[in-house]
Amino acid sequence: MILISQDAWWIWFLGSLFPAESQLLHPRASLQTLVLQHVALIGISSSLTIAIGVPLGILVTRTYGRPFLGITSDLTALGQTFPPVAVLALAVPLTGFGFRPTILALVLYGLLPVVRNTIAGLTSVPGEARDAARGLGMTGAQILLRVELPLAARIILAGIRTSVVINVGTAMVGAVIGAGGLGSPIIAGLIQNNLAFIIQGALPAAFLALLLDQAIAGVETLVPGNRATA
Amino acid sequence: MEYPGPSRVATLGSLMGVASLALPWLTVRSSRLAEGESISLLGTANTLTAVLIAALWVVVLALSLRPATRMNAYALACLGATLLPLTLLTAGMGAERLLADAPAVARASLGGAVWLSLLAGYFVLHTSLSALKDRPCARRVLMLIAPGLILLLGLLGAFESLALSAEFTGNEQRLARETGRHLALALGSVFIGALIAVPLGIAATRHRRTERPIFLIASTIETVPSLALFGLIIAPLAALSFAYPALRELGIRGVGAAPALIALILYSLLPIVHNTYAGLKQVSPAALDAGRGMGMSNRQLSWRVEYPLAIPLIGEGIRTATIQSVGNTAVAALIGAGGLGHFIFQGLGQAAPDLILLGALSVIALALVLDTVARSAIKMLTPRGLRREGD
Repeated sequence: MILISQDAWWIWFLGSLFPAESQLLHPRASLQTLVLQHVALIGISSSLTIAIGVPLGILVTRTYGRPFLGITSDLTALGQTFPPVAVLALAVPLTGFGFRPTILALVLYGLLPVVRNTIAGLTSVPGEARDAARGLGMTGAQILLRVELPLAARIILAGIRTSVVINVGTAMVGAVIGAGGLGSPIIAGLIQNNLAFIIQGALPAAFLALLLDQAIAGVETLVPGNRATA
Repeated sequence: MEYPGPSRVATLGSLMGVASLALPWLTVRSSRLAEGESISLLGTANTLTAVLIAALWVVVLALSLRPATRMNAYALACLGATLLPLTLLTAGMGAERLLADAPAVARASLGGAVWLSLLAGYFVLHTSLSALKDRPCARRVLMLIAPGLILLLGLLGAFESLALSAEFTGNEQRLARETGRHLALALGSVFIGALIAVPLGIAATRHRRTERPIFLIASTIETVPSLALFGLIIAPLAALSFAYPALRELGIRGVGAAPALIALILYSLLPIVHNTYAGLKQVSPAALDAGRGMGMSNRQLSWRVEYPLAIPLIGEGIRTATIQSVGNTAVAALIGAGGLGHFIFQGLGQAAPDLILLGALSVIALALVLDTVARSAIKMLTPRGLRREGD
């Protein structure tokens, strides 16, 4: 990552690939700024997604929230059929251009896998485990925190991983609506027909997505519990 | 039979419906790009219609607070099926009235209230229909009333004054062409992807050593953002077409449909490989034993037992790949591949909200249609012995 954010390294690398281009680096912002913008987009949207999605999944699997379980699972299944770009585009008439609609779209779309997997994880907890915990005299909150969530953790994390990876990709397209990030050199490169700009955005973005994916996969192997099936 | 308590989903839905009464129903602009002026329900509809809509939502609220008997569910379903088309009809007629004396370039777009009412109606309809699970026939009829009425109203021209229809009529030919292009790219890539991925999935189950590299490559590609993958393919393709002018004459250039197709094929690999693998692994050893006992050769065992039993999961993988491909094809418009993404990015470029809406809604509609087609195809291709009862 440090190597990636050194401009001098990039000038050397892109210069050897595209000796004909006079301008090698996207002039509007340094690569470091672009990576930071991208990480900020993902960080903010994914934190909001987790902060809303996991409690929502817990809520609809409790006795008092049960009536909402059906419609929540159906809506998340339906929403996952929607292309992420369409959701991003629909956020523009709602909130205008820039950072905000991108965050809104990333949160809305990112919620789907998180809510879905939280529900799947919690409903996969065997009834015997819950009964045993109740037999030990645990309260509802204790059962949730000490039995259900640990057993569901892997599946929930798999949902968060899907959500983050989709968001890295959708945030790229956010550059079109002025959110900045690693999509902007690609868009600029496409408009100006400059291959060096395109590579400057594409390589770090691919690297960032793989890095985040592997990081969350690493956390997944650390927690006990049921393996994700989906 | 015992009935559950009051339907809280319907209560929430009706509260959203009531809230929509206070929100803007239409946004009127002096041209398609101008700033809009919000119009309330009373500005959109005459007093009688406004009172009717308000009264219907209050009735839904009252019914939702009573025990959920079957009669109650029927009443709620009918009300939901009425409110959905009524909302759109009111907006459409309001737009016609408001634009009657306005210049031709003036536009009336749907406001937040209409979208919220549609969601509210969906909530009411969804919960009342799921309470009628034991009445599949009535359920199907009630489910089709609202979409049917909306389609009928659309054919009768009730929505012609809305800005979305204006964008639609203005782009009708282009829309048909880009839809065709979108379908060709999305389906073509999944078709070629399946031709590669299914054998790869089979190979992964047959030869243990190939399993890891196949999955590693496919999942790495899947993780790379679509715009980045497009970019990474453009550069080598541009170099190739520069070095071999013959390729350029075939239409293979750095940008355009060629890099889009390659990237889309690569993306379709993981879901199909994954599901082919899972589909073959879940074939029960008992079924294989039975086949072997009948004297089948290994080849027969594969073609007549294993593959048919794996079809539902392989189909599911192809469905996932198709939905994903429809979405990524929309992004491919950025690299000049055409498709429905064209309208989205043109709309974003012009800051024309209704053109964005046209593009986004048509991509969503395409995804939903292909999803439904794929689901029924999977159901039809599932071997009879695997079908669950009632399917």
